[in-house]
Amino acid sequence: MRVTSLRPKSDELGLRRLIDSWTVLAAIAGVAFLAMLAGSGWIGSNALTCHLVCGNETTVTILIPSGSNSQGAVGNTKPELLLIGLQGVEWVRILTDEQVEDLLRRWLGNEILEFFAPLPTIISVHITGGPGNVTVLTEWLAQQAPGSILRNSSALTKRLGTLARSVELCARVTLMVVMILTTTAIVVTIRSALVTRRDLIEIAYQLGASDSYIARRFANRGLGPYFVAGMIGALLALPVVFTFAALMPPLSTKGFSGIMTADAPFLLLPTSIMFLPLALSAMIAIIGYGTTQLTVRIWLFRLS
Amino acid sequence: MVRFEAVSVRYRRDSREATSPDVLRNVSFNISTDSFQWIMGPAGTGKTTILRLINMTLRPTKGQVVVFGVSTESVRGSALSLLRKQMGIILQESRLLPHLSVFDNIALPLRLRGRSEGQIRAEVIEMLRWMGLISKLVSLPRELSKSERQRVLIARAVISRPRLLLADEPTTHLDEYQAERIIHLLHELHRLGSTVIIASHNEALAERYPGPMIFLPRNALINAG
Repeated sequence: MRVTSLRPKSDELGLRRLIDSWTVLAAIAGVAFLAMLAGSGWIGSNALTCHLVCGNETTVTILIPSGSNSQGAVGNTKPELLLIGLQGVEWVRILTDEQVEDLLRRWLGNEILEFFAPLPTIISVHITGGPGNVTVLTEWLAQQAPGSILRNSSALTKRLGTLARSVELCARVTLMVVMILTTTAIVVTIRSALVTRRDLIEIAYQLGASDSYIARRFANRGLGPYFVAGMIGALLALPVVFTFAALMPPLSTKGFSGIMTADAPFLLLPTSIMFLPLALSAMIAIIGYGTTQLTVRIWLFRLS
Repeated sequence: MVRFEAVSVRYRRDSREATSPDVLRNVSFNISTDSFQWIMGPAGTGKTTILRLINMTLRPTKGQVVVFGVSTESVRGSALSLLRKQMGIILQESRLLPHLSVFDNIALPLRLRGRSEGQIRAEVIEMLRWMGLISKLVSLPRELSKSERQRVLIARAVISRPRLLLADEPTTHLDEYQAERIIHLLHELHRLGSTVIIASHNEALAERYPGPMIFLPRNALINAG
């Protein structure tokens, strides 16, 4: 006698391969893939929006013309070391000559082999604490680096902020659509499983199984597989997110203050994106559980 | 225990079909607690329909069915489940869950009632021994003969010692010896306090185990009780 076979069987209704068939799991993984991209887009665009329009922050560009006279006191010291000590300065980023040349080539064309004109030093400075601190910086530049130009592109920044907000909204809507798709896929699967197992459900019903017992059997069956499928789909989307992270500052931990590198893309991703696969899988599993419970209960109500 | 008050049933095969014939018409009877009740009549007279009405897998088109003092008309959800847990049912179309072993099929009503696994194991094995099915403990329904399947269905219906047992032609597919044993088992269950309602066309069996009888003649209305 095989004693082990007397252990209680959790799948009384034979739901295995009905709710967690490969087709359904592949669909869930696909949805999770899209959700991961949409979620990353949301986080990235949110970071960009914040960078551009949040609070009293602003980013200004300083151009210090080449030549010892114009560089004044700044000449012998690294400018970022001087600037970072100023009131309200959060970060400073200096474009190297190669980066400036690269930028100019995009405007002037690749046929130019060498720039003979002296290139200015271009510095991005992120200032917090409102316009007062921009004034402080302007005064400091007039004294320490006469001839330098400060550009505060707040109007353009506002427009870019609006654009970033739109992108964020699009990402949110996409995420919502993807979640609606998940729900729809689960409802269709469950309804099909209910129709296929109708006679078995009726037997369990005749024996006194309650609606909650049957709904729980269906919901528990999908919980684990949906979570795993969601995780696989989200993890498969990570390489794409890494690529975006290498291309787009908002998706990276270095944000707007550092130079991007694609050497170790996973190091560039902010923590929120790193946790996104886990959060999305959990969300898909919860949506699956809730949707299944509701679908089964409605179906059973009609049956009785 | 069970009361039918002017119950009529009409199966709607098609929503446009307004004139489908009544399966039961204006049926009234009363079955008291602890009775060993026979429902007799030829095939197609509505015996199974009566059992399904009591089990609430079918609702009357007209009239009222009262089971355990509760009108079944609006019973749904957990209340329905609670009422059914007090019943055991053997219908001719009853089926075993095909992917569960004989043990798990018989254990299902006990698991639905939240019994412990130790208790379930002891009770199911005792029942299987009595039914002569102990060697089929881990077999799947498709591996059983018709007679064995019928005995498993009966075991599943009586394992929880229900307050009300509904049996539709319980001796179908059984030889005379097994049929006698099964009716004896149902009689024992009745002796222990259950109300047993057996629908059958086998008058000889009813004569050996006498009890109150409702007779359903062909194309006739009944008003017993």
